[in-house]
This record gives sequence, C-alpha cells and structure tokens, in this order.
Amino acid sequence: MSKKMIVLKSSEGVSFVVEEAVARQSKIISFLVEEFPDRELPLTNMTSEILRKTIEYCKKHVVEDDGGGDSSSSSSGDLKEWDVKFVAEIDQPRLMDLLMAANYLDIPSLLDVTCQKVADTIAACNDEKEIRATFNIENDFTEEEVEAIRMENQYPI
Amino acid sequence: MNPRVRHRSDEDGKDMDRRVVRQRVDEEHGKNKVGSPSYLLIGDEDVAPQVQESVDWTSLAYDPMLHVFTLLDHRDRASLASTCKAWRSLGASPYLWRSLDLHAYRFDLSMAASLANRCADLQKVRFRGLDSPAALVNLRAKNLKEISGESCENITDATLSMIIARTEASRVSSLDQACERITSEVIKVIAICCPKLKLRLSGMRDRPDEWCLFATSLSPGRQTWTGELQLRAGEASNLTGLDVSRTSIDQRLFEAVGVISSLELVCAFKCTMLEHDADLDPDRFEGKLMFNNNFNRMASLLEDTSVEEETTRWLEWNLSRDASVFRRVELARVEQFMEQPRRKLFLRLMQSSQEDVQERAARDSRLSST
Repeated sequence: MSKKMIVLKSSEGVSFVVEEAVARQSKIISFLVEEFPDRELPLTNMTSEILRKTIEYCKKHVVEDDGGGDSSSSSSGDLKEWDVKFVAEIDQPRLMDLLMAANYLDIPSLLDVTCQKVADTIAACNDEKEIRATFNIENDFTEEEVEAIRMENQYPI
Repeated sequence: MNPRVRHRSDEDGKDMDRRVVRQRVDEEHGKNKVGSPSYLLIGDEDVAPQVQESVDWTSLAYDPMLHVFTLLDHRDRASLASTCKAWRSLGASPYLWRSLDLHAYRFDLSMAASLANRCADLQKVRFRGLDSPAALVNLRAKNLKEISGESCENITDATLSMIIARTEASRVSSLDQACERITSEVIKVIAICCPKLKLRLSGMRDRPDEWCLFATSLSPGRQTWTGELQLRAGEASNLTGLDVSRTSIDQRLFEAVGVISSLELVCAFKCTMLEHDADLDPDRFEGKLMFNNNFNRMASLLEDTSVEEETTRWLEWNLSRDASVFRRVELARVEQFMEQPRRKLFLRLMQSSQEDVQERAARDSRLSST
C-alpha cells in the first residue's frame, strides 16, 4: 500500500513532496488537505529553508501507524533529546521564522520547543539590557515610562 | 506572517553550505548572548547585505510571545517587559496575572495601585498582613476566587465585610493568625449572604472577657464559622471544622460542639479544662474526626480514613500553629514536641510546599525570639 503524498510549495516556489501523515501534524494542513484534496498547497509566507526544517521536525514526530515501521519509532526520551538538539542547532533569526511557522501552521509541539528555546535564551540574560542586545530590541521608552516600569516590576506574579 | 521579505535565489538544499557571518554590529551583540550559538545567517550571500538581518522579534505574533512569557519566572518576565513598549503591554496582559503572591511584600495602597491595571483576571491572591482593607479592594480584581491572608491582626468586622462584599466571586477566603477583632456575628451574616463561600479563619476571639474561642472553619461544600453564641443556640448548621485548641473550653461547651451535625472535624490540642476529663472520648464524637493530644490515635485515624486534601491542609495549619505556640511556651522541651507519633503525623500530612514550611519556620522563630 503506497502512502498518500501531498505537495507543499514554499514562497520561492519550491515544491516539497511529503507523506500526508507527516504533514497532517499541522492542523492547518490537515484542514486544507480535507478541503482541497489532490492539490498543491502553497505556503507563500514560508521560505524553503524554514519549510524544510518544519518538515524535518514533523517527520521525526510523526505518530507511527500500524504498518509504518520506519524512522519514526523513537521512544519519548530519544525524541526529547532530538528536539533539544534540533532547536540548539538553529540560530536566532531562523528560530523566529520557525516559531512563526509553527504558529501559522498550528503545530503545537514545535511551537512549544521553539518558544522554550526563546524563553531559555531570555532566562540566560541578566537584565533587560542584555535581552535587548540579544534580540536586537530597540529601547523605545521615555524616561517617565522607565520609572513607571521600575515601580510595576517590583512585585512577583 | 513573515516580517522579512527574503529574496533567495538559491535552490533548495544548497543554502546550508552558504553560511555567512552577519554584519559586524550583530557580532558585537553576540558577545552578550548567553547559551545560544553565534549569529550566523543562513542565506544567500548575494542577498544577505540587502536583507539587513536583524529580525524584528517584537513583530512576533501575540500568542506565541505570550506563551514565551508563561515559560519564564517572575524575574525574567519583569526583565522582558522592561525591554520595549510592545512587550511591556504584553507583560501586563491579565492572562499572565492569575495568581499573585504578595506575602514577601508590604501590601499597601501604593502597591495595590501599581498592580491594579493587571489584575482584571486575578484569581488568587496571597498576602501577609493587610495595611488597609482598601488595598485589597484597590487591586480591582473582580474575579478573585481565592484570598489567602496571614497575620491579619487588624482585620475587623467592617474590614472583613468590605472584602467579602467587594470580591463577590470569591470562593475561598483564608485569613490566618489573626482575626482577633472579628466577632461571630459578622461571620453569621456572611454565612447567610454568601452560601458558596468557603471561609477559613483562625485566631478568632469571641467575647474575650469571658473566655476565648479559637475557631477555624472549613467546609467542603458550604461555609460558616460560628462562635460561642451560635454554639449555644445550636445554629451552627454549616460549620464543618472547629479548632478549639489552647482555649479554656470546658466540658459543657465541648458537648455542645459535639451535637453540631455538620461538624466533621474538631481539633482540641492543649485544652487545659479537658485534659483530665475521662469523658473526652473520641468515640463519643460519632461520625466526626476528633484530634486531641493523643497523636498516636490521630495518626492511626488518618491512616484509616480518607481525608480530603483541603481537610489535610487545615489540619496541618492547626498543627503547625500548635507547634509554634508550644515552642514559645515550653522552649526547654522543644525536642519532645517532635516525639515519634507527632512526627509521623506531620509526615503523613505534609501538604505544604517546602517554601511554605521554611517560611512558617522562619516566622515562628521570629515570634519565639520576641
């Protein structure tokens, strides 16, 4: 029995042929596949590079079917380790793209790991200045606002 | 979705080999970066300078960024909210402010004012001491479900009524170690007005000139505490837990306690008037759990009975209060306090977090040194 394949097209027009089960981890694609079967799905806001990364993640995380005994047979511990490595290799600009891809395509587990990496990066910073430097954020506060923030932030959640 | 418009001519699969180091500026930023790889842009060399690769993180959608906030502790949240306007407003999102622990701070009006704009969705607040009842009201937390206050010595009938009236959605209110000025009359009124409220009070003193009744109330379904007046009248229909420890409660009154049908639990540690009373037989309290100085019995009772979590917490509360009083009164015999059965009981209960226990211990040692 051959597996059903679907075609995803990146913003550059590059086509990716993916097993349906892999692609269906995205709730959006799952929906689109049902609405428009046998059609190429254009993902105009996703570069080939990010789309390939996303597919790589989905392939690893595809839930094993009864028949399919391929690379997806990882234990949850291995998978976690793999996730850590997966996001560790991603540099910051691409991390944001991947995070947004996960958000757009609605892939909760990928969104979780990418958000966690962002959170870890933030947690590793000592103060807001360091966060600004790390994420290239412009300080757009007025002096009054800075004082107000200082007041606001003295209490814990 | 993508804020960057990237024009890449590279074919799929080749760009991995075309890593280019980002501009100087970014490298400098990279020095401050901790725990993540250096700034490398993967992309097409021809296009890279044009792209000006500073991704605008503030353009990230609302939801994922909020998710990032939830993954941080309060210190990091505060830092993140201090970086720029966009994230400041995100950091003030009521979604992130469901629970507030103020017990390490002085909870006064100015604090309430600075927190108020974030508390629209606040469910749970914990504080120690209340400078002014207005502070709690000024949080403007209309959806508060759980209020937990310690050392609320200055809470009066009027204050309590005000708190209860202004936080209508409240389901559980605990006011610990404190309510010396609250009378049973106001509790009775609250019981009638707010049948769904679970009210836990400790350190109550009703008619202190005659005798003092420490009482704590706990009720899984409905609430109420009742003081001596109601005990006498036998009106305490909703009272489920009563702590009369260290009071001068006598046999006559204790029997009155025994007939309250809603009562499930009674704590009577260190009641001098009852200690030598042969009639104080736990078995007389049919259908109720009774805890007195017989810790062996308590421990075995708890093993045989399935006790709700809330009940356990209440018991632990009472026991730890008992412990602190014991330490103050009989410092010389502290080690005896933790004799085997009692230790066993504590271990059996142990619902508090380690943080809470340490906090309580620190407070108790402050008390004993004064």
